[in-house]
Amino acid sequence: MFPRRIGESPQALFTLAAEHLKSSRKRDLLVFLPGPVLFSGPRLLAEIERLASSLTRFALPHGARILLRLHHPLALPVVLPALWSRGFVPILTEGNSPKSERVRLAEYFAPDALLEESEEDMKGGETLFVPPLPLLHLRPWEGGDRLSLPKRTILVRTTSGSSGVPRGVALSGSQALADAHNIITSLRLSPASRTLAAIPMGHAYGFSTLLTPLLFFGIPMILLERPLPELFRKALGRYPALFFPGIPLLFQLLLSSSIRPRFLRKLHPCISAGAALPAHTALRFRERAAEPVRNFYGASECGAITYDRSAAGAAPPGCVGTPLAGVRLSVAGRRWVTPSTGGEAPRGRIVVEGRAVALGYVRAGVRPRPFHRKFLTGDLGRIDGSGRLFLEGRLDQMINVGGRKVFPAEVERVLGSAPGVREVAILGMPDPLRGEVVAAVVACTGDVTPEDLIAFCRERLAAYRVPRRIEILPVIPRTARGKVDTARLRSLLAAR
Amino acid sequence: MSDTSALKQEIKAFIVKRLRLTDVSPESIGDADPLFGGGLDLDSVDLLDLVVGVEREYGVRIASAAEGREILASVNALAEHISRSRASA
Repeated sequence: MFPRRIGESPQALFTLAAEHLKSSRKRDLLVFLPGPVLFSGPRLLAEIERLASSLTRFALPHGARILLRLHHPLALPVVLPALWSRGFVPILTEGNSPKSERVRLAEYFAPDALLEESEEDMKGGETLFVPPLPLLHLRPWEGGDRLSLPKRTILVRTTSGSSGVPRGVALSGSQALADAHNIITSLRLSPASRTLAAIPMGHAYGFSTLLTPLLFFGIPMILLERPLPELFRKALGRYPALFFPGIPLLFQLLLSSSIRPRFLRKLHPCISAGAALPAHTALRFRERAAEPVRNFYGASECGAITYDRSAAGAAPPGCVGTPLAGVRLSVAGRRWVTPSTGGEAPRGRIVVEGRAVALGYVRAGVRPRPFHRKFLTGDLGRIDGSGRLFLEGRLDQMINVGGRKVFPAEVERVLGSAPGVREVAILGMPDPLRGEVVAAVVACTGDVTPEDLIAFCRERLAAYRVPRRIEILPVIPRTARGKVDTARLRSLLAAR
Repeated sequence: MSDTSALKQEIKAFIVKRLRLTDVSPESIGDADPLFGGGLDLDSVDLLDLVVGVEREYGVRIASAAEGREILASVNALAEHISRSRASA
């Protein structure tokens, strides 16, 4: 069912989506809850074309890069194909980042325009109203060197860089389709399946498990406005089985809700990605729903990588399964370990090869860094004799807040610029719901309170990046080598 | 203490416990204080956790973001909703 070979341009991708939508016979190809609002393929296409035609009044150059900041769940299925139909390249960012963050992203990616959901204080630009989408605001952006993109780019995903500088990942149409195809084949999805969308579709995980299957493979989607228990009940009351790509946080919320097991059982198959699924959550979910949550692992730069396809769906701790169809996996490194499962296995950085690997990293004013179909991840792992991948940490000190990456450097940069702050150390602390949250230890020169600093961060960082806890100390403890003594800070925070 | 003010006290203690707000005492939450976007510093994950919690604890089912914003606007709003639901049950 892989779509025929496509011309590698945004418009060719739109044409392909349009063909699929036009020929879809389902009345409810896309169902938005609450409501419900039902979209057949032709109706969804009509909404896309309406938005596309209202974009014609803006004098944007062919190939214009449009930075998106949209958080309404219905936005991406309509906006992305509409932009492609005009030959534009969307740049995806977090939908609910604060204003200062999006200005910073715009500086890094130098788009031709910003397309956002309207807010009262927006100046310049023009509004677009194409119900059922929220009121949108499009304004030109001027400044900096124009973002240089590899040929064939149809989309740029933005991710947090380990140094605090955001990175763009350029993707071609065939790479986007290959990623979705690998997932669909490995999970045995078909147009007779239905997906349940409760995660953002702007991230690679939601994009390739939900949005691409809908637009290019005719796989129907139930889209929830928010992951509320009542909306899960509505969706699960309506359909016999729904493919559910979730994150550990959602499985924990489902378990603590009063949704009956007979409904939870309909979440089939269930996969979890974004962060390690705690063993007790997997076990409790299996007990309650009689349905395993299967570990799934991927990255923005190369799409889906592995999936636990064991019969029982009960991978041992750290195991994220075997490579998806179309993915070649290896580890770069010469260190050998003896895993508890027996035998020796190489351990090192995980390397992914295949047609779904993106074109490369991009940023304004910098030459693109191509991947050449091979991506060296920042994750460390080992592959056992059965070809199963075990994750063993990261090269950097990323904090994983409910599946969203936070690099200490970016929080440090903001907090370090607050008045009265002398030194900052950022670390992840365990959190029962999110897995980890950001905590900060700060040494100050002035009369500053943790509340002041949190307020300062809230204005400049997305909510999940804002430290949940800030401790003020006279000095930041350091090791003999002058490095921040993270172990001491952790025990200090734990004791307080 | 009237039934309503007892319910409000109960709700405040429930919020602190459910969201593990170790630095917040229930008494410090004002009846009319906005629960989100205010001094409690709650985020979207807290909102979902609270939605799940009020459903389990008080049988309040929230079926849309708009309803959630209205019902969970403040302790007053939540108490009023629970009282109304109990009266009509």
